[in-house]
Amino acid sequence: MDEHQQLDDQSAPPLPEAPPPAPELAENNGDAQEAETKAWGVAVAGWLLPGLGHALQRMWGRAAVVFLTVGTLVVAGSLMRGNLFTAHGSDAFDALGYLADLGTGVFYFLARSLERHGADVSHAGGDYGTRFLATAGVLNLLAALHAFEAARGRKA
Amino acid sequence: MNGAGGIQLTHIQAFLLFSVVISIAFGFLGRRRPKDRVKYILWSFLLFVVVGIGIGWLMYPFSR
Repeated sequence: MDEHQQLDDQSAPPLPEAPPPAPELAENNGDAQEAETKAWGVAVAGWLLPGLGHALQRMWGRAAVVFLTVGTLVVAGSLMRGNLFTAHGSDAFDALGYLADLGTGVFYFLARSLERHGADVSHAGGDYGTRFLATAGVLNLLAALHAFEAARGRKA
Repeated sequence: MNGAGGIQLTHIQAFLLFSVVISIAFGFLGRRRPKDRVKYILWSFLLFVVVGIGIGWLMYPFSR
């Protein structure tokens, strides 16, 4: 054993064992963790199906409004022949558009099924349709974030 | 409706549809009491329309 090691051994007395946490504290920790997990579940559910995050918390009015507004934008955007981005975009704007469109959750696939003739942005309507689809996705992400915060008790 | 089974909205129709839908969503997400929601929706819609038309007029000199 060299000199440094001896010094280290002397300068570091064994730490006393930490007392076990009080039972009620441990229980609170468990509850908080469970609430956090539930909040994440609510957020993911709200993203996948617009309004579901609020419906799971019995916020029926908000759930219905989120479902209808996101649905209206998706249907209108698709019928206006807006551009629904795919994962095979060529530049950063396509990637951003794809992320925004994915925000609509399952409605993304509804939009794909409605766009049987493909996008047509050669006229203003198609361009507006593209914005409607992207806005629907961002609005749904905002609603999912709201549901997440409500589940954590930060908003009501 | 257009020839390919879609809908064809004018600029103002698309603009108003967008404003109404987003205002309703904001009102319900941002406020809790029904009275506050109605006030917020109307105020938000009014701002969308005024700011949208205002920006349109601001761009008018550069449109040609």
